[in-house]
Formats: sequence, structure tokens, C-alpha cells
Amino acid sequence: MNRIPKLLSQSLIDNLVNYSKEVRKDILKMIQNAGSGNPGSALSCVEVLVWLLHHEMHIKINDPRWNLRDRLILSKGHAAPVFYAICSQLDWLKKSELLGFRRFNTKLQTHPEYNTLPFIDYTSGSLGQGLSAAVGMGLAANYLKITEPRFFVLLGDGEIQEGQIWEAAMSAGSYNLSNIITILDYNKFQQDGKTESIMNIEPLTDKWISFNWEVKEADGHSFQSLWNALNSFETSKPKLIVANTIKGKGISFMENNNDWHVGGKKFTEQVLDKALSEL
Amino acid sequence: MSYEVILELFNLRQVYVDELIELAKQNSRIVCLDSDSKEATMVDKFARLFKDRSFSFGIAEQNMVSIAGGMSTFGLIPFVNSYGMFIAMRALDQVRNSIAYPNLNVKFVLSHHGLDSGPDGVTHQLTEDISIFRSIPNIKLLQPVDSIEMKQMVKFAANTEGPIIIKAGKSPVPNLHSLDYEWKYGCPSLIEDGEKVAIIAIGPMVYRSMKARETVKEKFGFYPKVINLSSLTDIQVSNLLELTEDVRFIVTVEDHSIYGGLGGLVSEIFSENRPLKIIRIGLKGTFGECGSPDELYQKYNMNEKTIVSTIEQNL
Repeated sequence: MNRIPKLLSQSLIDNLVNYSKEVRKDILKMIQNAGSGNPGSALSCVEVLVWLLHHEMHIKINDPRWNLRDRLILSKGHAAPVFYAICSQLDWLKKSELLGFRRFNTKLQTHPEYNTLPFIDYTSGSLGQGLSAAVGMGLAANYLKITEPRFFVLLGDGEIQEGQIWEAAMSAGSYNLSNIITILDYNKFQQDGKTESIMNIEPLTDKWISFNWEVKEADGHSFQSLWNALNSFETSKPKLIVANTIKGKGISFMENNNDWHVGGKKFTEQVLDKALSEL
Repeated sequence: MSYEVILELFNLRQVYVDELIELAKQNSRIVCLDSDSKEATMVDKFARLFKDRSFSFGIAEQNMVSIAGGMSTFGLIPFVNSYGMFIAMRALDQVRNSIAYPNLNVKFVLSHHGLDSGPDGVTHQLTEDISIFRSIPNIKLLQPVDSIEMKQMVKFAANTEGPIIIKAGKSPVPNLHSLDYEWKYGCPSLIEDGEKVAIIAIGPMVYRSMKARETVKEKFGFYPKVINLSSLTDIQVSNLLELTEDVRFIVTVEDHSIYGGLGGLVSEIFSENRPLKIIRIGLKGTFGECGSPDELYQKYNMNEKTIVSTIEQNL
């Protein structure tokens, strides 16, 4: 379906910047309160998800199950706190519910759980499966002749070491699923260290192009850059935006510091205060 | 009924596909997925009739399973077809986390089970799936004994929300139920009544148990009961207890590992409800090998002779 791009004005960008700042505060509080979680890899994809959910995606705030909506699959399921924080801004969750993250008897599971909250379009947490789900949704939409939805998938960079990602990439390219828009949160780190030292995923762009995808690069912390990338695709192939990001973005002592891949005991209330003071 | 007569044999994969085609004519939400296994699973017939509802993904079962999950979120009813091994083992994480956990409406029809796969060899002889699948919440696991059950199970799968797995064997099997038999999910079926001993079996082992039953009558003067446990999840325990009320012991027979399989399942039920001696026939901590099913069942002590001698030893 040909769409008229949603324009991105400076005032809209200012709003998204403010939303992002609040999201960062919320996810830090959630993870610190939970005693564990992944602050570094959540902070790196804040702008991507704020842009999608507050601006780019066609969704109805009051009707989260609207059938023609764009879908979002957090294949990188450990970015759930970002998603939950944005949900509270969209009034899909109460702000007070956020501190239930990872706790007993709450909806805010560590990884997004389909059906627990009506606006989670797929269960994730076991890495590597989300892109396949989007392929299934794309094929189903084609078969049902529903042309409106786009399928946004957020992948982690370490995640694409999973073989299933390449099975899915091959099938999306083979079936020419033009409505799949994948955003790779390329923060260059994974749990055990730098991605290039754990298992090199480069040359990234060439790999996806060879799977019959169209690829654009963007600054994953710039709304304008993300918007430009999305609106510069020219073909009907499935689309990948390589979003260059910084792990731990926004908090000086967490940026590019893989000690903050996981929060844990070192994430005390004092450390939280220090982090919040930087926002 | 004499089991020496030649009975008409039915290929359960064929029965499944024919039934699925009939259902698909009435329900446009039914779609068929395969991983370079159309011929082996016999869904090529479906693909010829419904080109736009047949999806192939190459040799990539993990991808196929998660794709089926994605399709189901749009209201489709995907039937995933594959060699059982490559769903139960290779794509197990996807079955558990992409399908069972969110309780998505995806169906699996899996072929090539146990030593019945014969010459295909160990890598294709799935002998652990019952142990695996019955421990995963939300999954309904079914093994039809004949074409009469298969037809009803396919209809049940298409009309019942949630993940359902149907085991479709390789070797053709005779009908053991009458045409008016009504299969009910969770209910064991009494194939033949008897006394003293109950043989509880599944799949191709039920027919072999029937033949053993005849020999027991000839040698020892009584007929044991033969019970078919085609639902391997959510079993109606009271029903099974009632069927076995008057027996001295039970023999379970399965073309599968006895560890966590039918033997394990029946032992769990009886140890909790009515402790009773249970002797398990099946694979005991070993892989199979190439050969015909008959050769393999003999070597691995799973044929009619073993059933008879097991009963004899425990009388």
C-alpha cells in the first residue's frame, strides 16, 4: 500500500525527545526496582520505539486490537521495559503499574507475553523468532488481502547470530514481503562483550542485501535520521534499517559499558539517583 | 474377529490430507505449511488444490513454526506438516515459546514415528515426542490408531482453539473401530474386552496387541483387554480406571521410549490412583537402526511375541 509519509516537524521531534527522556527515567526505575534487567540494551532502543509508537505506527490508542493496525514485534524481547514505559505514556498502562516489572502477579513479564496485554502482537524472549512471526503475519495479510498493516520488527544485533533470523530473512526475501520493516538495534554489544569479538556479524548490509532485502542505515538516536531512512526505501523488497545506537545511551557511566548489560546488585538506589540526575 | 484375515489398510497421512481438503473447502482460514516435505507428508494433494493456501519454507522448520504462529494471530488456522523429528527436536523451542506459551491456534501433523519409520533410520525415527510434548502446557497430543480416529481428530483440530499435535504414522494400518465410533478427546477406547490383563497401546502397536490377544487366548485360555489411548494429554482418568477395574496387571505397548512415553504416562496415572503392576514394552534406553518395522520390533522386543511372553511371565 502506498502511504503518504507522516511528516516529522521540529515540534514533533521536540515532543519525541521529551517522551524519550521520560521513558529513560521509567526504565531505569523499573529495572532498579526489579533488582535485575537489561538497562544497557533498553537504553539503546528508546528513540526507535518512541518514534514507532508515538509517531510512525498506524495504531488506535483507544482500540489496541484494531485489525488494520501496524504490528510491532519486539523480537529483542529484553527491551520490554521500553515498551511498557511507552505504554504508560499512551495510557495503555497506569504509571503505577510499571514498578511491577519482573514482579510476581503483574502483567509486566520480563519479556513481552502475547495476550497478557492486548497490544503485544507476539510473545518474545527466546531470541531469533520474531522475524519469522512477522513473515507469518505478512503472508497471512497477503492471503486475506489486507494491505494496510506494516510489520515492524525490532532485532538486537547479537540476536542475528541466531540461525532462524536468516531462515526468516530468506523467506521474507523469497516471498517479497514488502510490508516488513525491520530495525536492527546496532549497539555493537551483547551479553558477553563486543559483538565483533563474540561473533562478527559484519558485513551486515551486504548480508541482508544478498537475502533480497533493501537496507538503509540511520542514527538510531535521531528521529529525523530514522524517519529519513524509512522514507527513502525505493523497492518493494522487505526493509531493514540498521540503526546505529549506543548501548546505555543517555547515562554517561552506562554508555558503551557492557557492565550495564545487566543491572543487578550494583544498581543501587544511589546509582539510580545518579543516573536520573543526568536526564 | 480373526486378525489373520487380510484387512484393508489405510495410510493415515493420506486420510488426514483428504479430510483436511474437505474441511478447507468449507473453511477458507485453513492453510497448509511444509518444509520441503510435501510428498513425505502427502500434503502435495492439498497444494495442488489450494495453491494460495499452501506455503513452503524450504528445509527450515524453526522458521516455519514461528511463521505459523504469526499467521494464527491473523485468524488463520495453519496446519504445519513435517517429519515429526524436526518439529519435536529441532523446532522445540519454537513450539514451546512461539506457540504453546501464547496458546496460538496452530496445528501440527507429524509423520515418521518410532521404529515404524524403519529404513529411514535413527535420525528419522522419533521416539521421544510423547515425553516431550505432554509436558508442555496447552498442547493437545493425539495419536490416531486408525482412519476412523484420524478423520475425527483432523476435524477436532480444525475446530478447537489452541495448539494440537497429531501423530500420523508411516505404515498403513487397518481400521480397528467401527464406522459409527465417536472419538472423544481424552477418552481411551476399548478395542476388545477381556479379563485378567489389560494391554494399553497406541498407534501401530494396538493392532499388534490385538494379534497378541489371540495368541494369549490360544495358549492360556483367556482374552486380555486391549485399550487404545489415542489422546496422550488430558486423559479422562476415571474412564481409564473403570476400563481396567478388574485386571491383575497392565502391559503398555508403544513404538516410543518407555521413559516418559505411554508407559510412563500410564504408570503415573495408576501410581496416583490405584497402584497396580505395570509392565512397559517399548524402547528402553536405546536407539533403533535401519530395517523393516517387523525386523526392528523383533530385535527390540516390541512385537507380538514379546507381548505374549510378558503376559505369560506375569500371570
